[in-house]
Amino acid sequence: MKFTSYISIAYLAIFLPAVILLYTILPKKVRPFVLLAASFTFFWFISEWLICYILISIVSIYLIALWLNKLKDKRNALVKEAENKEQKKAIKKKSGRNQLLVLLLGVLINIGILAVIKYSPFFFVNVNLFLKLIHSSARVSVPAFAAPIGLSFYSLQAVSYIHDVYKEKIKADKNIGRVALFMSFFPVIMEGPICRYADTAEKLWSGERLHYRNVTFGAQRIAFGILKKIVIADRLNIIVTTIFKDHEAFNYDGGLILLGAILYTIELYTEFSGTIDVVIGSGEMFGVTIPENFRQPFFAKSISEFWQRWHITLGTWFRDYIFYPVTMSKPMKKMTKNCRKKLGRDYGPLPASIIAFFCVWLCNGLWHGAGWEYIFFGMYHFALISLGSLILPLSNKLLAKLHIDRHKLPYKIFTILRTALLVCIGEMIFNSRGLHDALGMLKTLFTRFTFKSIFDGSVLSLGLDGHDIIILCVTLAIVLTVGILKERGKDPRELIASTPIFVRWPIYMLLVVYTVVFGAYGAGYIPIDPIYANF
Amino acid sequence: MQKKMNPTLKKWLLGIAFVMAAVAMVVLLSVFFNEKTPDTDALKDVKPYGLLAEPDDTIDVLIFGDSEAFSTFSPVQMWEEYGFSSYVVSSASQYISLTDSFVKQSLAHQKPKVVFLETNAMFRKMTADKPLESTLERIFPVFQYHNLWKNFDPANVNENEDDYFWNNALKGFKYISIVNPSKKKDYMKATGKRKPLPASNESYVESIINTCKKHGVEPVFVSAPSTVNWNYAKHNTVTDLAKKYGVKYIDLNLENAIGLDWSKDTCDRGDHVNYFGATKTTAYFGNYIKNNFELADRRNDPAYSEWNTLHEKYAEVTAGSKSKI
Repeated sequence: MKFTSYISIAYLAIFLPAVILLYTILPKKVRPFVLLAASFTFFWFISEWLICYILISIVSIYLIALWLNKLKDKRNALVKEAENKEQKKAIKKKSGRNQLLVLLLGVLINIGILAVIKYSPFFFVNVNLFLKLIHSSARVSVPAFAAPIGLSFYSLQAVSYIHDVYKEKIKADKNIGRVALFMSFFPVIMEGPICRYADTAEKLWSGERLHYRNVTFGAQRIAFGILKKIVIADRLNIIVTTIFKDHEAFNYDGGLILLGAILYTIELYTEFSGTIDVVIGSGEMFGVTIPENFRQPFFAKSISEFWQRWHITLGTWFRDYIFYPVTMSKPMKKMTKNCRKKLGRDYGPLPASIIAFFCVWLCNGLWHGAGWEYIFFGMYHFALISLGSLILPLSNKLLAKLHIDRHKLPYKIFTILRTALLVCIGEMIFNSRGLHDALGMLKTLFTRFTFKSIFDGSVLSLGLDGHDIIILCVTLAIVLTVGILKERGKDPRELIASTPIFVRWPIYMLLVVYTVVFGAYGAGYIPIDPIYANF
Repeated sequence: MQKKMNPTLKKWLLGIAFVMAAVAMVVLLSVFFNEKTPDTDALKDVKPYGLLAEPDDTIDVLIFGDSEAFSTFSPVQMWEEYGFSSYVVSSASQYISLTDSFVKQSLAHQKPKVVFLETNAMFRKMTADKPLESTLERIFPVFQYHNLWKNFDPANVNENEDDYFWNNALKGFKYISIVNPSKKKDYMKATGKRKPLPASNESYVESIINTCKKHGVEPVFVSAPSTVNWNYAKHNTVTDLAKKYGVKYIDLNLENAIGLDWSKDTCDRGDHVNYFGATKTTAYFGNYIKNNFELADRRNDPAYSEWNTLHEKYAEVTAGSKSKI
């Protein structure tokens, strides 16, 4: 059995039900092992022997965390015995240094594997390009590695675990099974969300019995995820592929490129958030609360707010393990202090933040892929966010002068649309076939912008007919309504569940029928591969 | 006093009842969306299903495959030039498991002399889902025919007519006039290497061959010209396969007499041939069929009078390309 997506018959109709069945019939003590065995089996189905990589990661963080714990216990014992403050300080300093070295060893192992597998080919290709540039005839051979599934996701989980132990947010786990399940839980292994040990590990290992409410709510969430993926994302895939693949050959104008960018952003959102719905729904069935990865991102009023609502667990990971450590480092603190004196309170903290943002966005770009277009994608967001911080005091003054209230609806709508447009351009870079292609599309967008091909009907020749467009609009309206309800603090599933059976059953049944009939699947449709599974 | 049911048990039973109701709904939908549902102009990819609109036992040659098949072979041209009836049953990015289903479905209605299997789909890697999908589609036809909703008219359901399906005037061929040249010209460099077939694909090829033999039809492998999808290592693999199963094989990528000009005859840098490339390839391929299989010339057969009118529609569709030549 080879899984390519959570939204597949193999996963939804065979694997998941089989795990649920085993989990139900076996006693509580065995249940965590059922999940662990299922997770390793799932991994094996996809990556076979590459499972060794995740096993190395699991063993390494398990041992590193225990080592850190030992150092901390030793430090505490020595501090207790110390006679004066000076001694205590010296013990703490020495232990702190040792702990940091152990932590760095753990980071080196886990990020090292990630770097070698994912980035070394890119690095050596660029070394060769450089050698060519300086007219050297020397070339290095470019290595090629097969990557295990979910490498970019579980490596970050591994770092978060040892870092949290180092920071004493959590205790090192003595149970390697629990660490292994936290790292490899099958619903999150392919596309995240990036979980934290404190949030999921205990619950995963508890072996709690299945509850009717969890199972049905999980199933509903899965059904909604499937709807988003196969009715919207797979349908949009036809037109998006056409526009992105052939824009140069067919000389598409800026209007069509913009349409492609918008539709790709919707496709990416419905594909990724739809899959995450299936992931979270699967976890919910076992009573595990997997962290949310999306919070109505298109209601964001700025790029930085967008990233707090889109792929949330990646954003918070970068915040906690890159942004904070950089801004809180000694040299940065010193710099901020100096800058405050020279630049004032408004601009003083900015240089340190901008340096930290640069690190975050460089890593964010590279995390998405080893290619210059991804670095460009990261730098695009870095530029937007930095620019936003720089002009904020100015724009505040300007708005006050023009008597525009930031909190009034028209301004809010303006900022939401502005943010969405900037996001779409970013995703266009993301989906391009390379830096050259991305720059070409940007150029067309700004130099040859017309709505001609959208209004003269040629857009209908790109793979979607009128029927498709109606279904897209209706389904997007459903997704938007769900988003608005959630934005207002209401849970649509709770709302439906509170209605009588003769109301809620037809609603659920309609969801099933709608997806079966209007799904973009079968002969002639080419479903998108999970976009985030390749990262 | 009657004993009350345990509320937890009641909930679970209700849940099971819902799942059963949902399955019943899929069965019900399959009554509306199936092979006999009228008019399928609206099917997303009508080409493979259009064969069902043809009267039974009237097609001499069937060609199966993915987009390489429908962009390369033109049945109307073959009729005009050689006088036998043919149909291309293919869809974009088709998996070999789906080809297997189409062969079974088609041979239940038609009794051709020869069945051509375009070889590109043989190399398409399948996921575990593909055979499962085919099984589900067989049990619940709605999964296969759900796209009929686009032109759905409940009034017509289960009417006993022959023309359930939209009669495809190009007989499965797709007309593409775009010119997007390919720079790759020496893609067929001879080599001893072999490109292995993805796991389990061979079993579908075997199944297709067996289905053909069971119906007394000769199966033949054909590789359509493509600088992107084809190479000598794949040619070698298919040659081995042809030998193993005792099947004829023609690789059009090696037939220089076709006279393809990759700077003009492709619509997507060599991935597929365009109308101009298809016209040249079809002329050559039609001649190959005529010389290798005993097919009657039906152009004067009154039972095939409709085929003699097809050129009008064909000329209409392809008119735009005349100015481009």
